[in-house]
Parts: sequence; C-alpha cells; structure tokens
Amino acid sequence: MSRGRSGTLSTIESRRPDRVRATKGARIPAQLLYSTVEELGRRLRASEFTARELTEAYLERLETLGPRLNAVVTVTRERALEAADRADAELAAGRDRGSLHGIPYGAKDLIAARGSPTTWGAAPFRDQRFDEDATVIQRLEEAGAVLAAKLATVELAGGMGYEQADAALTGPGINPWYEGAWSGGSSSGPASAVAAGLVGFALSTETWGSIVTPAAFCGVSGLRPTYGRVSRHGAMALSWTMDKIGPMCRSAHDCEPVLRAIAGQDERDPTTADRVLERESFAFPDRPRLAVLKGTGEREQRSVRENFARSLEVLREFASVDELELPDLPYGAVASTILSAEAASAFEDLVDSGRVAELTAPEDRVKPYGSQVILAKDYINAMRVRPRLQRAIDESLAPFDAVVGPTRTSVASPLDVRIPDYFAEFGGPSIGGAANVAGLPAVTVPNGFGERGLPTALQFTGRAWDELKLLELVREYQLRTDWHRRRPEL
Amino acid sequence: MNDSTAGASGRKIPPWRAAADNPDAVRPPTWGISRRRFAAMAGSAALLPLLPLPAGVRGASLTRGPADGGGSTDSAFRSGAPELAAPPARRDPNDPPGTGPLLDYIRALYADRLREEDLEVVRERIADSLRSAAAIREVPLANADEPAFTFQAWRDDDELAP
Repeated sequence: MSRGRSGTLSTIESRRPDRVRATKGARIPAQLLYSTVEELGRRLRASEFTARELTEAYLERLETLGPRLNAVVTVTRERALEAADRADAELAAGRDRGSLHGIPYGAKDLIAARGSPTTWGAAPFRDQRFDEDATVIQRLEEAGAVLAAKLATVELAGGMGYEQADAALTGPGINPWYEGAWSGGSSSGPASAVAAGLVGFALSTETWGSIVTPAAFCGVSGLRPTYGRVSRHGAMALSWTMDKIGPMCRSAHDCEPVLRAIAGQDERDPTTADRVLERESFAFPDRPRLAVLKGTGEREQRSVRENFARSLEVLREFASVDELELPDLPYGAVASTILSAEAASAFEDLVDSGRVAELTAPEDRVKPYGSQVILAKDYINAMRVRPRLQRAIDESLAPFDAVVGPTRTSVASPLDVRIPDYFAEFGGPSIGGAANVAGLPAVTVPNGFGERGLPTALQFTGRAWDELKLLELVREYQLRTDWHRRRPEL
Repeated sequence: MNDSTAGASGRKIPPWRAAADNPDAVRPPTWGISRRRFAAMAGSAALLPLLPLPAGVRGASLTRGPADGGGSTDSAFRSGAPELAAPPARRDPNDPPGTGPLLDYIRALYADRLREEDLEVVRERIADSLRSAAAIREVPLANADEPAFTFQAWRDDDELAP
C-alpha cells in the first residue's frame, strides 16, 4: 500500500523525458554513492561528474532500492533534477554555495515540501500537501542542496505508542545491513537511505530517540541538535516542547555543514534561538573530560558491551573518562507525561473523528485514547519539574565535555518480534529521556557490529548548545576508527 | 506480528448496560448534559476538576452529532437510547487510583468504537500515565516553581518582541 504511494508517484514521473536521462547516472559507480558529503563535493568540483549526474544516480537507487528497504515515500524526481541543473549552472558561472552545493538529500516525510505529499507516514494523511517548504527545506535549497526524496517514518513519528516495525504507511523499515531487521524508529527512512547510499545525507527529527535510535541501528552518524537550534516550521508537531530536527550522514564530520545550513533563528518558529554556532564560541580542551553513566556495560547486549569497552579504550587515547551518576529524578516520567499530553492535543482531532482507526499498527489505533485523559495538573506539574531537571542535568554535565555511552542497549530488533519484548531483554542506564526533556544535543556514531551483523553505536551527549564541541570529540574518535566507513552490501 | 484483527474497526459495543448492580454506573442523558449529570455519569467526585463543561461549552464530542464525524457515544445521548449502563472498568489491583474513572470517561465518549480488548490497552495506557504523574509528584515543588513555558502579552508592532 505504502509502497504503492511511492510507486505511483515514481511511475507517473517515470513517463517524463527526465527518466530516460536517468540511465546516465549509472556511470557513477555505486561505491562512490556511499561517499561522504565532503568527498562528493570534492569530486563534483573536480568535474568527475555533474550535480545532475549525481542526482540521477541517487534517483535511480531511490527508485530501485528504496522500495526494497521501505525507505521512500516519494521520489521528488522533477524537483531534484531542476535543482541539480541549477547547481551545475551556478558552479559553471563561478557561484559555489558551499559544502552542500549540488548534493542530493532526503527529508523525513514529517517535513513539508511544496509539490509533494507530506504524509507524516500515516494513512489518514496520505494525500496531505502543503503549499510551502518547511524552513529547513528552504535553508537547504539556499545552501544548494538537492531534495531528491521524502523518506519514510513510523506513522506520526511513533507518537501513538507503536510496538512493532510495521507501523508505517510504507511498511516496516528494513535494515540495509540485514534485511530481517528493523531500521529503527521513527526516522526509519532517513537512516536506511543514508546507510544504503540512496542519498548524500538526510534530514530527520527527534522527539525522544527518533534520530539517534535509527542512526544507531543502521550504522550512520546522527546529530540531535539542542532544542531551539533548528526551526521546526513546516514539520509535523508531535510535542511542541520536545521536537527537534537534525541531520543523518555517513560521517559525523558531514553533520556540521548540514547543521550550519539549517540552524538559526526563524520568525516562524518562536522557539528558535539566536545562538552562535562557531568553533570560537568554545575552547576545545587539550584533554577532554568524558563521563560514563554509572552502571553502563553491565546489562546491555553482549556485543554492545564489548564494543563499548573497545570504544572506551579508543576514547582514553585522547580523553579522560570518569563515572557519573545523574541525580535521582523522574526524567522518564516527566518526558513521557509532556510528550503524551502534547501529542494528545496535537492529534485530538484524529482520535475524536475516529480516523485514528486508519493507522497501520493496531496499537496505534487504540493507545491514543488513553492519552486523552492526562490531567492538566499532571502536565503542568511535569512542566514545573522540568526546569529543575534541566538545572540538575546541566550541573552534572558541567565538569565534562560529554557523556558517552552505548546509543542503544542492543542491535536492531528482528522485524517479526514485538519491539518492547526484544528490548526488554537488555538494560542499562540511559540518558535519552533526561537529555530529550532537557533539550540537550547528542551525536551518535557507529562503533562496531553485533548480532546478525548489525551495527552498534556510541553516543556523545553534551550541554545545551555544545553541538560543535560534540562533533569535535566525535571527529577525534572517527579519526581513530573506521566503523563509519563500513558499507552494507546490497 | 501485525495483528490485523485488532483496532477500532467500528464494531459496536452496547455502550450502556443495566446499572442495578453497579453503583458507579454511567448513565446517558437523553438530550444535552448537565454538569451534575455528567459528574454522576463519570461516577467519581475525584473527576470533577477535569470534567467537561456542559454541551456546547467544551464543544467537540459532547456536542458533535453523527453528521460531523462523531460516531461516539454522544450519539447515544442524542438519540434517546434506552438508559443502559456501561460495564464497570476492569480493576487491576496494581492500577493507580483514578484509572477506572478515567477509563470510564473514555468509555463514555468512545465505547461504540472500542472493543473490550481495546479498552484494556487504554486502561494500561492510563495507568502508565498516572504512574508517571505519581513519580513526578515525588519531586517537591515550591509555590514559586513555574512551569517551563512562557507567555507574554503581544502586539503586532512591538519591535522589542523576540
């Protein structure tokens, strides 16, 4: 069904003359399409290929491999080729917009793009269209990037309480490393598309785990910015006070130009902050101080524990590592109360109209009713406790440059297993709820492989507005490892 | 694992059943709904702070008829359906206090589209929310602890506004 949506659009557009020229893109070797943004840009400027040829090559993969991975909702072929031609013409005229100029990318289908459906991954919204681009799409266009596809997401960003991989208009997200495993949620499409070389990079969103989890499961680098760093205008609201938009790339280094392009104040999103995003804004220490949450490395899946232990050895080559215990506060309870209450309001119409019954996952059709009766005082209490959590976390993190830990306690779950059942087998401390409710940034990068040949990942969480410091730390790690250069065989 | 048999498929469940043996019975009014009557319907004084206002004030479900996509139990309110009572919410000894009445509220609004097994899922969801609320209440708050959202007066030509 969902594939039908993507397929239908592709079929319509495939009748255009552009489709004939798409075969030209095939002259770019597939292996090259796994390159980082930095490498692609260098080759583009060296005239090894044009932006149009690069775009055609990615469109070809989006249309052939995208459906196999359930990673794509809509291929934006016509818009992409127009943008690619514009990028080529500008380069020929001596105008270079920077690192992203001529680089094809995909956007999670929660983000509005004019001319294409924006389905939010959910059947009740399969025909929804917006007549303007989200701010992040506009900003990437100004940076010369080429929108090539709207990418799959768990329906409504997973906010209805899904318990299975098959909770999306496009079917279960397939992991490029092992096709019997889930690609993660809710940004299933961006993660698998980046890992499988279907796009140069992707835009993703996170309310609570939706960037870092699929990035970890698919072995790509993901950046969750500080809340307020990136405008959410034009993106589906799940939780007004917790939603963030950030990049997924094939190296953490690539996340920086994408973040630079999309960050900054936006009058259409009053939560955006006018904050400096410059390396000069912080002093990178000679020997960074890292912290590991107490209890890490005890109850995670075996491969996760072993790979994290090896990562610590690498990190100790350039940083000190101490143990940290966060103050005992109800991070998860506050996060879930806020998220549930705001999502209940955001989707009250869907529930009240009964159209929630059209969602794909059976549990998503029922659980939202329960969120309709969260008491106002409980939500307000959560919002009153929230500043206290923010101060407590910041105080704990202040002596350190980052908290590191396994991004997830296991590799990706099998497609045919109920998600909570699989993850219940493993445990360990998590900073995810605390960091998301406090709006803190994080970067996740691959750090090895585990069960079924699936990636494991390492997460760096920092104080508010410390994205560049985190990327600098990750760069040091990735200079010493090559996990981010491994590619799945498809 | 996709259980296609589950979900709100529109299967009808009689929303009201005889209340003789049920002191918390939810009774439908035949037309309109008074605050007092709804309080009785909800069956718990503890629910008063969140009770919807009389029809026409809260809007949405309680005033919405089938023509505008309602289909919820308010259609039973309006149709003059016989006075039946909803079955009491299943009580789980581990549920936090208030789970049952809140479930009854959902049942009162949406019973015609939720099966018993669906209501069980909703009950668990409500219980989880209440457990979260209880955990939050463990954090002592002073009167001056303001919520983490800001409101400000606004005028269109305010150059100092962010």
